[in-house]
Amino acid sequence: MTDEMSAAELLAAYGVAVEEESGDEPRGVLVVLEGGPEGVNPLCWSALGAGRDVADAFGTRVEALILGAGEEVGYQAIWRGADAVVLPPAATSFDAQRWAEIVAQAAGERRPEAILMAGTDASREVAPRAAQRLDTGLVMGVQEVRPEPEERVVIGIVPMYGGGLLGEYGFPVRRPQFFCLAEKAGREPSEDGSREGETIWLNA
Amino acid sequence: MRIAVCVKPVPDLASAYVSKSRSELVEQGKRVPNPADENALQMALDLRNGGEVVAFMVGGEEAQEALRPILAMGADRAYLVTDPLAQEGDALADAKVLAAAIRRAGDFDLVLCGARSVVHGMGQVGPRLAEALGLPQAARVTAASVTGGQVQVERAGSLGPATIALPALLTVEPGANTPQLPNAIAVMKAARKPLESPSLEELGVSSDESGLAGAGARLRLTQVP
Amino acid sequence: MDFTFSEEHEMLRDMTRKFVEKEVKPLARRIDDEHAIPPELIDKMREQGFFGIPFPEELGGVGAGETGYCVVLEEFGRGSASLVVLLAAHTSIGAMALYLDGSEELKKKYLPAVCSGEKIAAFALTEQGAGSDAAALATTAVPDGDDYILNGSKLYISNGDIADVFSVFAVTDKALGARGGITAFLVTSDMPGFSRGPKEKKMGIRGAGTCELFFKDVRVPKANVIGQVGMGFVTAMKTLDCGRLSLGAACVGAAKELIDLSINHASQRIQFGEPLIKKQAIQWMLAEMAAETFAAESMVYRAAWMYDTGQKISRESAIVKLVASEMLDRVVDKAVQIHGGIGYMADYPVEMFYRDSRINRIFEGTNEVQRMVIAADLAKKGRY
Repeated sequence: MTDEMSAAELLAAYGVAVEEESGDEPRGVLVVLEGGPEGVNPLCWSALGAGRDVADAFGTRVEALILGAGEEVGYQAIWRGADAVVLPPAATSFDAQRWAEIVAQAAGERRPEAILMAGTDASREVAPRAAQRLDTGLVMGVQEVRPEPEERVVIGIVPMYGGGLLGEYGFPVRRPQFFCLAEKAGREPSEDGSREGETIWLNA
Repeated sequence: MRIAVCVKPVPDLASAYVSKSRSELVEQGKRVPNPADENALQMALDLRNGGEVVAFMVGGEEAQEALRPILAMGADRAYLVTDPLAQEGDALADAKVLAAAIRRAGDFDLVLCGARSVVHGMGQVGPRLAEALGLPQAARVTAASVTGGQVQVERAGSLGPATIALPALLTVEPGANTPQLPNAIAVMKAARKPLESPSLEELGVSSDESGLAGAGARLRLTQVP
Repeated sequence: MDFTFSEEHEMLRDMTRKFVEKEVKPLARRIDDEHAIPPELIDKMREQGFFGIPFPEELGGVGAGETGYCVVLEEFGRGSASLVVLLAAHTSIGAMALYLDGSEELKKKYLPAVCSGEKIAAFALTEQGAGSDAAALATTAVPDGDDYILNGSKLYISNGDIADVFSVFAVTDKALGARGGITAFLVTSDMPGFSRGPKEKKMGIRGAGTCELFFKDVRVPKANVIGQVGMGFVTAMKTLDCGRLSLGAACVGAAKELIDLSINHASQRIQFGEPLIKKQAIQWMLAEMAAETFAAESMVYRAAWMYDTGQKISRESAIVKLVASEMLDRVVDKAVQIHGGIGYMADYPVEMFYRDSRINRIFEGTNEVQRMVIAADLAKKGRY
């Protein structure tokens, strides 16, 4: 036995039957960006940076769902690291109920393994509603997002009791793994004007 | 107005301390109502205009000591879900249990909760509960008034004032008001107010949707920063 | 044995503590300086229901029993001894005499307003010539038609300045003395012929009003006799038995507060390179303070339990008063010493506690009288 055995290989070595990946598992990271008349809320970019880091660790893609703004701002997300931009049929202004429906719809159609949202007032209202619709957990106020590629899980580090303790939260079973960052958490991505990506429309 | 108030029992941070050697919070003394939930209750009392204020809590038997002060403050009665299978859930599971308890208690014009708890301040349960009950929401409310079938709110943070149709769910910002100290008579009467403890079965929530089994996210470990 | 307080008593303690922190402690020094309790604070206390704690709900009280009352007084003891006296003189002696021995009609007539605090009560026994020798009263009550005519004066009456309702003890038969010659009366401040002297200036408990009362041909209806004619001395002693207990609770509260202040000071004050609390001399003082306080606290609540379960507590309440008051004087003395110079300064509460404590060995029956009561009971029973 060497250090390089993956969890699946270890289990196989002990004779534990391991399910073959059917290719149907949720894959990819969905980052939810808030938009408005001015474009994408810049406070959301750090969530895209964190999402990119998770996707790279897992060897998968980042898709950016844009709420409240149209396809004309999609390039900003692509330049900052998204592989694709996901858009609802029509952009609507902020309403927690409506936006949560869109996030849930996007998760249903795109089947990400992880969802990241930023630490804004609007996102903090939308994320829990969306997570309840998706019947999955949610970790909010995340200071640090830590992908663990071996188990293909993401751990969220959250301050507790006003910062006296740090809690590590994870998703043992349910998917998608849903995180809402703390303000100023994540990573500010740099712009690369040469990047290209697709635009994906959600069903009407 | 009929108003539901959700209350979370939390450690008493005045007496608890972080043990560096054990990397965990050591509690000394009783559980207390989450402070923002007391603000929510106070807002309910201010808005009730006759009517009824009903408190809801998920917690073990010892959670009762966090519920009595809520009854003393002025809630008319309470539902406490002590079913062991409902304990140690996360916000996903707790929202389902609370929603079921609220539905069981009838129709409410308003559902109020604290905007966040002192445990990790995520503020999830309120919006999740709104989703589970199919209600519009406003979060981090600092002031509210009801006219006709609507509630006008002011909010902390960047979102500004709003008007929402009732029934609705509001999460109340900690410090939004000053929870009134119950007087001695109210304290003595609190013990006699009706307290129901419906089982998960009576609530119609399955055991794999609630408690530890129904949790989505789990706390793996705590450490001192 | 279950030594836990009931949930209601815990909540009562919690509520009272919060009230004292928020409303009383910030005013304690001003109350002492001005020799008065602000009326707004008394109003807030009324709203909180503090004036009827032990009395049953049917009579307008809170129904928390003697234990609940001791809890409340203990918490007030942490904040202001002047407020303790206001509450205690009102509840455990002023109103208590009426509650213990008054007729149903008399209780129904006066207790609700007393329990709500609308009317403040006081206990008028002590006179110029009758302190410890309480039976040597000179105030007379002479029957006249449907009334008694009261003449005389009372001295050092707590709440005398603001009370509306008084339990007054007067001689109805000089020859019989304490055994059948003293009667208790409910006198109200609006009865013609009643007047009060100026407030006394005192060493401590300065916010509590203490003054003389004068009765000049005060006509008191026979219906206002508390208990039986001639049995007033028994009423007085029964009432004082009860009052002593809660005084012990207030002493425990003050002692606990002083220990907390002392620990806090000793943990922060650095001398000779380390905090005082590392020095054995200070540690031993704190240890002794805690030991004595625990002992007194245990005694108070055991006796309160005995009272609430219907047991007689004459000897026990005298012991509680005796031990708790002497304990507090030792604790407050150590507290001043631990604080050193700052313990003497008016900027700091410790010196006020020091002056406030001294009265506990004197009023509600001097500690010498307590010793008499204990000894008499021992002699009567022939053993412990």
